[in-house]
Amino acid sequence: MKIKLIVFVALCLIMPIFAVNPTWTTPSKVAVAAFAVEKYKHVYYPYNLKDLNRSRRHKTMFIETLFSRVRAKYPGKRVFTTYNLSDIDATKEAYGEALLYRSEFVFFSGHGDQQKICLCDYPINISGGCGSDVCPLDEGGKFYGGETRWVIFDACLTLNINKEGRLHRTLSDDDVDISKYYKIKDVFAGAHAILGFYSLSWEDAYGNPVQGKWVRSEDLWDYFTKYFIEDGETIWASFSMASADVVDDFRTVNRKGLAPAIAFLRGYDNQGRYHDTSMERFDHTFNQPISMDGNMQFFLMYVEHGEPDYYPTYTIGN
Amino acid sequence: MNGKYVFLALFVLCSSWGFGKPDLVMGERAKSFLNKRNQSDSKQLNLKKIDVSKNKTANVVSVDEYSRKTMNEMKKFFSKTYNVHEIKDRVLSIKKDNVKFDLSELESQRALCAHHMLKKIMPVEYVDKFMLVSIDKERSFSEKQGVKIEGYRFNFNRLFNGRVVRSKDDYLRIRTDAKGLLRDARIALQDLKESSEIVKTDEDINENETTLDSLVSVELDAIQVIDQNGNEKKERVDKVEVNSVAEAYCEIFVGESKMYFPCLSYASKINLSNDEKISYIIDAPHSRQSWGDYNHEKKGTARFNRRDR
Repeated sequence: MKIKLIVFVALCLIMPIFAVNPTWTTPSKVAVAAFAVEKYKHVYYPYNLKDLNRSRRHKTMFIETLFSRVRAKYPGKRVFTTYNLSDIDATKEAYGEALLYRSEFVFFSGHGDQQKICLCDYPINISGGCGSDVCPLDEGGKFYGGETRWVIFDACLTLNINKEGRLHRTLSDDDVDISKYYKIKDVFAGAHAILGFYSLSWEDAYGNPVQGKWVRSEDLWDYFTKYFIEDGETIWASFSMASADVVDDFRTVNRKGLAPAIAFLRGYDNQGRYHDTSMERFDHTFNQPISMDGNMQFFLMYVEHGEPDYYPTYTIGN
Repeated sequence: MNGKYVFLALFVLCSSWGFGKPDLVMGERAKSFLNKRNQSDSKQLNLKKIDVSKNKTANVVSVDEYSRKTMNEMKKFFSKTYNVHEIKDRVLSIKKDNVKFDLSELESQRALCAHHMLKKIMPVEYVDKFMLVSIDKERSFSEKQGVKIEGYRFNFNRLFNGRVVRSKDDYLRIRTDAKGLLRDARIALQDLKESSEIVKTDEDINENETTLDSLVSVELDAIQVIDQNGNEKKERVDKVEVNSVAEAYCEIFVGESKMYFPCLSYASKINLSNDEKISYIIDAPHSRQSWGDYNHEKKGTARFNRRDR
């Protein structure tokens, strides 16, 4: 297993080096591997998950607004999906076997928990994978590298690293469960950053049919792509501001907030180049996988907008 | 009374019968505010710009949806020294390198620190037109450095005639790094103007409380939650504790037009029957007659149920 991991990571890190010179630029193409689950009736017991209503809308909003904005700002740039799977097609097996390393973005929308996402049949740990991009069904987990720069888990708590029973506590040295920190760190095999939530995330919509004005939780991804592609904001500012916007949108009808989070790398690589992958912009992103060598450190960062919740009323197992 | 109102009354009655009336507990700070607001020392409240004699009434405020006067003025002002970018209709993003705020008194003198920020960045005439409501803190963790603060987002609400405008279309957000260096500021302002319609605002504390109480028993007797089995259910509200109060303008739809009516905004903690405590801001009229026939709920609003993911 170790050998497979080493080969995979080595391929992810070495192959692109031969392809292009290392520099900060706009990605040459935008490929998205996207997964969304709303129907959880196929999830095996003892998992207890309520169906969702808007995961597919979240995924569609992400893909469509991303592609249209890339096309508008960078005419001629190739945009396409490598995977676009929903519900009964978005199984653990499909996710496990997907060749994600050719996609700049990996996007999942559905139920989540600390370091877990739940596909339509089984939950998987976001790490502890099989050491390859092609994972057998029973091992789950993935490593993210190759051409993958940004992984997005649009699901509850995926980046929360607090100890059990302390999910709501303000991040402190006492409350951090370092093993959870490592679980996230371990999936970085060249990827630049992972976006997710420290709190519960949610879906909702309200509006006035007479006026045709609607506010929808999927607007988060419209805001995000606007900031990231159209306005040239950093990946973290884009995600944080988009989350704050959605909280603002729902302020009059929804008492909750959101705690967007990012797992990222900061420091000098072996070549003496400084990276802070939370500050990468779409038009200024390192065109190579970034490895954890040199003085590179792994960081987890979050911010609370409004009053987020932290305790799910469902369980998605271990 | 037409059929629509009969239906509304029935709906209200039915929802009231489902759950008991929550206990309303007014905290000392809130009581003190309400007691003082009709006395002559209203300058101590957040009514700085209002003449005391005018405190007995307040004008309803309308929105000119087509005008961009305020935003154009802002754009012109900020363009002199900042990079200004219109990110949405009537939302400006403002940036500049090397603008630094003094955050040394952030923990001890939050309001003063925020005031200094406003003085540094806003046109003079707008410094008193915003009020700090919250600060979002960006925290990071790494193995070597442990936990550290990476940045802040200061959230300001707009004040109009000294009242807090309860709207998602009027705000100021200032983002800084941990040392106070400006990352960006975002400002959204509608064109608000006083209409000729006047609302009485001088009711005594008993009427204020009675009005809030009736609103709470009708609209806040229960809250939709998801239970341990993943089922949605209504959780009874046992108690509403009011901590503080502010004079505000609340958004009301009159037909399809948005209006802002004078109101009181109560920052509260709500105790649910499952022992959960949540923060909630309750907007209520000064009296049961203040808003006449206008319904606080946005007419024609449809909504789906929130689900945690």
